[in-house]
Amino acid sequence: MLSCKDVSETVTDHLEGSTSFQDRVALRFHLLICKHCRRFYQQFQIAGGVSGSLGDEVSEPTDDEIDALVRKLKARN
Amino acid sequence: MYESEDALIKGLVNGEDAAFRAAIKQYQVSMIYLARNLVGDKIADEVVQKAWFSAMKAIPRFEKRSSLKTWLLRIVANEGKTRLRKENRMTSLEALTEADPAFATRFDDTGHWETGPAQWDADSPDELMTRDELKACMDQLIEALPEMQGATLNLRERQGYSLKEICNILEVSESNVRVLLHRARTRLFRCIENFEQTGDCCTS
Ligand SMILES: [Zn+2]
Repeated sequence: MLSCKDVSETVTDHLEGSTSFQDRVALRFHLLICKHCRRFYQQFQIAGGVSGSLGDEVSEPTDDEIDALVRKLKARN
Repeated sequence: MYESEDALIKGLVNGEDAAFRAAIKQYQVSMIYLARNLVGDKIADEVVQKAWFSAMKAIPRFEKRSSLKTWLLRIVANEGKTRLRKENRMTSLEALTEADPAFATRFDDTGHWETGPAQWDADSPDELMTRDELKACMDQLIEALPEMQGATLNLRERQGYSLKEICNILEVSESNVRVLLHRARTRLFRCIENFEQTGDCCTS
């Protein structure tokens, strides 16, 4: 039987689709009967997702910046 | 102006200005994101510039076994790692992937939750990140993640790369990529949970 601890350790494998059919069935079944793990599994996905919007946004290089870099690249090669 | 990647690569090999411009416009942002994760904001630009130099020197020998973008990111990762090693800032992969007692204390002897995870006050990452204090806390945490964890998280969650592509870029095995990703997500999870319960930002 899959334990809650097993779920906490394999959640990323499941989310990334690197588990076997059998493992997936076992997880499905566990989630069906365990509300703690249901919550854990859902919130774990939310946690990973927040990183998509964090940190300073990198802006597209301006034409001047691109020109400067091209000049440097050509000077070097 | 370059309709296919092949045409762009050919332009780069021929040293065409327009090809340089097109490549920089298209890939610079992703390259900087990766460099920031690896070496930090301050020297990211410098590392990316070095990566461009290396890339343009190597482009005639590019064998197209990956996309141009993946190839460029791999060069950025290499430059970044070289830099970290030089400054003795590189955390070893062994240290990053060894057993982590992340949730161990939360389970009883039979492996069941002693106290289940707390319910968060949000149903999506966006909803969670509308709270400024928590967002600031997460920003801090991400910045403090070990380089390779931060880079893996960024490549997966922000840039949508598959695990296979990430091992190609960072040159680590796929199972290590999975562990790095799991560790990073686990830290985010625990930090958010802690914030939800105490209103404080985790400090470790
Ligand atoms: Zn459970």
